[in-house]
Order: sequence, then structure tokens, then C-alpha cells
Amino acid sequence: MQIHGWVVIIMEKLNFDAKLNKGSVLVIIAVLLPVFILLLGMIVDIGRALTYKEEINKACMIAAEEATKSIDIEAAENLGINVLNENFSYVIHEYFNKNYEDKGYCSINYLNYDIFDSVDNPKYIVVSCEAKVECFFLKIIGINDILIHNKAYGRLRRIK
Amino acid sequence: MKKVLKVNLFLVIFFLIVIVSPCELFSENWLKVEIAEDEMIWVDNSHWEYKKILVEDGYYKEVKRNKWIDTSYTIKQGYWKVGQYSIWVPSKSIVPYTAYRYINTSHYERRYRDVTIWVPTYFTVIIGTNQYGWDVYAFAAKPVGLKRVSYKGNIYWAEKWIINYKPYRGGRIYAEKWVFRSKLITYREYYNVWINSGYWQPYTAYKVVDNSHWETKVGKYWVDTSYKVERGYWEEYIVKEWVDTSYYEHKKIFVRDGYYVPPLHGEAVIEKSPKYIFTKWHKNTMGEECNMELKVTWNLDNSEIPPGEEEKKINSIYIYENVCRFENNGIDKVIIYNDSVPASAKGSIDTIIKFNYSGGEDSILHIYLYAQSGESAHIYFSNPINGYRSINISSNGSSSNANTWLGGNYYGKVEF
Repeated sequence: MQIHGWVVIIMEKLNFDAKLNKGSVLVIIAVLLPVFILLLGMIVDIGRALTYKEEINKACMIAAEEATKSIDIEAAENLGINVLNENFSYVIHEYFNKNYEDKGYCSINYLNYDIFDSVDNPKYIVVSCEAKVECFFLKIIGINDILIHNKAYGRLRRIK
Repeated sequence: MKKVLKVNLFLVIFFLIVIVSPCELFSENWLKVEIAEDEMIWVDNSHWEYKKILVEDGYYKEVKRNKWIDTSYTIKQGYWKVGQYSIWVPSKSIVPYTAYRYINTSHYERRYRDVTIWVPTYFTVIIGTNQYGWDVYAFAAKPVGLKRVSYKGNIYWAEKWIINYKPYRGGRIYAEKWVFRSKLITYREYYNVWINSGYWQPYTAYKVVDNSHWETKVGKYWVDTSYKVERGYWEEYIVKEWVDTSYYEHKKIFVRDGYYVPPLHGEAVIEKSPKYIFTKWHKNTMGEECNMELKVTWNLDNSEIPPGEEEKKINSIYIYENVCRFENNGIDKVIIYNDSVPASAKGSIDTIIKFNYSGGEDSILHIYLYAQSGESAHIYFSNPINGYRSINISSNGSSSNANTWLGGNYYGKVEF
């Protein structure tokens, strides 16, 4: 049987003589295979969590942007001031949900917002979110899920 | 105590003014008007136009030509001879003669003619009773028709009415009524007639008579036998000739156009809603595109018009705004109203407009009121158009306050 690649390299480094050590390859493979599978699982689970984090980040950014645009137009037209509308929190949830696809293995723990300075002087809005991604492979080593956090900042700018 | 009363009185007056007429307080200085007096107002109709433009182009080309170099010369020669010869003797004399000129004696002559015409008249003559008696039996009056009658030496057309009534109690009532409608009168009418007349008048004039003639003389005279020797040659030379390769091109050019009109006198009231204007890309409380409502009311002052001159009336209105876009994106001209209105010295129009682009405080809204007789009034004011967008910022946040909006004017009265 011809053996190629890294197995050959390891055997050469250990001055491995195949004739003298018949069957030991099988033992080595049996030991290393679970480690490799675990590593592969980690890559898959963490990668999936990162992809999901990016998706949630995008939804937070859009929600923050749209919320800043939700101003009281009556006050703007008649008093010339920039005041947030009463339903701006509804806008945050609406645009977050429109831009986030619910998947079975993920769940949103919370979606919060903060207004700086105040509703009457909205310098900027911060939309923050915590989500949980269930692991598939990492469950083997006792990690059931990964928590991800996102924050997005939005501000209204008069065109000038 | 007196001081407190004074302060209270001032506060009461101040609040009364604010409540009763809040508009007057915040109106005046934002409206501008081109001062009437004797200055003419320029109505700018400048616009972009595609025009066929001649692009001048070409080059010089060297061309060979030939020219004749004339080397001719004259040999002057002759000889003296004795004999008979003729010479021209110039002579002039002035002689009198009788000429005629026309003396025009045409003139107007005053003449007259007798003209007979019918003139309206109105009087009544009742025969056989008096006015009271006629009125009592007026119910029985019957028309006979229009008659040509002679009355007191004059000729009239008169309506004849007759009462020929037999009452039950017996007897007969007969009366006539003449209603004179027109009278024949003769009057003398004077008129002028142009009479053509004149005559030819003799007078003494002078003329020049030419008496020049040839005279034959005997003596020594010069016989000229000079002659010209014709010769020459062709010489080549080079000239620069312009080859015209000009062509026409369609170009977009800015055409400055407009005209001056004299101003009007009166007052105008401008009402704008809302105070702060937004572009149509934003929604108002009704969920509709944001817009601007503009009401222009005018009241012309015709009190100083000289007697006999027609009252000035507004019959056309032109309203537009030059929106000066941000970041040097140019000027967006938005025509708000450009139409005729029923001619009136006092009136108003309501307009509504949506803006595509936002613009700064240098965006000017112009209102031109044109009168039938050609005069105009120009009112203008700054009318910024707001627009906004949202952005994502870094996690450092922002320390600057939320933006406020440009504008705020909504009512103004101006005299022009």
C-alpha cells in the first residue's frame, strides 16, 4: 500500500519503519480522526455564528438609520425642530425584522435601543441586539450555543 | 404702585397685539420688493437653447499664380510744320428769356345748405276734454295710429288716440289725444369746400449759351508722331489662399433674455404653509409627499391715477423659485405659477408645489404681478427647501446637537 502526504512526512520524522510497525497507522488515524472532526466542527459552528452576526449587524444598522428618519414631521414643518416620532421604536423593530431572516438554529435574546441625547434632541440612536446560535458539532465538547452581540449607531443629517 | 400698573398695562397691550394680530409682528423684513418709484423692473426670461452655431475653421494653402509684368514704353517724337491748322475756341454768353411759374391760389370756401331732419319731441294735446277727463275715460281710449300733422305751423309725427264712449246713462263722450313724437325742423349747415385755382405768372430768367467753335489759323504747328512700344512677360508668384472648412454644430447655449416693465403701486400679502418646507421625498402627517402652499393676495393702489386713465388691474402672475442646490449642484428653477388671472385690482391666488431638490437660504422665491397696462411688481424672499437623510456613524457617537430646519417665514405684507 502506498501512503502519501502528511502521513509520509510524520512517518519520516519519527524514523518510522513501516515493515516493523505494521498496523500502527491505523492506531494513529484512529486517535487523530476525532480531533480533526472536532476542529472541523468548530470551524463550521463558529463560521455559522460569524455569518449570522454579520446579518444581525446589517439589520441593526438599517433599523438605526430608519429610526433616526422617523421624525415628527408636523413639528419639523411648523416649528422647525427635530423631534423623534412616537412610533420610532416600532420602526426599529419593523426594519430589524424585515432585514433579519429567522432561522431555526438562531434566536434573538433581546433588541434594545438608546437615544442620545433625548427624544427632543436626538443626536444619535444606538440599536443593540443579543442573539444565540445553537452549535451542532461543539455540543460534543459541551458547548451548546454561541452568544453574539451587535451595536449600530444612526444619526439624521440635514442635507447641506 | 404706579410702576406695577404701567407694567401690567404694557403686558396687556403686548398680549392683545400678539393674540389679535400675530401675523403683523413677524412678517415685514423677510419679504423684499423691488422699489417702485421710477425704476424699471427687469423680467428675466433667460433660458438654455439648442442653436445651430457656425464653428469657424480652415487653413491657408499656397497657390501658384501668374501676373503680367508690363515693360511697355513710349517714344516721344514729332516735328514742326508751317501751314493751316484748326484750334478749338471755347466761348460762353448769358442771355435773358421769359419763363413761367405757377401761382397756386387754391383755398377753402365757406358754404352752407339747409338740412331738414326729424327730431324727437314729446308733448300731448287733448281735444274735447282736459287731462282729468281723459284720465277718467282712459279705459275707452283706442289708438288710431301714427299721423303726420301740422300744428302751430310745424310738421309733426303724432300718435292719435280717440275716446268714443257711450255710457249707460246715455249720451256720448268723444275726445282726441295727440301724442307728438317727432318734429320736422330745418337748420342751416355750414361746411368748407376746397377750391382749386391758380395761374401761370411770367418772369425773366437767364441761361448760359455755349458759343465754342473751331477756328482755322495759318502758322507753325507741332505734329506729334509719338508712339508706344508694347512689351512684357508673365511672372510666377505664390499667394496664400484661405480654405474655409467651417461647419455648423448644434450647441446648448444660454440665451440672456428678458424685458423691463414699469412698476405698480399697492400692497401684497404672502401666506406660506408650512413654515419649514421639505422636499417631496419626505412624507407629511397625512402620509403624502411634503409640499408648499402659497397664497398671494394683492390690492393695487389706484388712488393716484389721473382722471380719465384706466384703473390698473393685475391680469397675469408669474411665480418661480430658484432653488440653489447644495454642494454646487447648480440652480433648479421651479415654476410655481405662470398664467393669466381674471383682471382685478384686488384678488388672490392659491398655489401648491412640490420640490425635487433641497436648497439653502440663498434660494429665492420670486413673485411677479403683471398689470394689463404693462406695469409689474416684483416681490421676492428667501425660501430654503429642507431635506434629510440618515447615516450610520462610528461607535464614538456624535456630540453635535440634532439638526434644526431652515425657513420659518409664513406671513408677510409688503407695499410696493
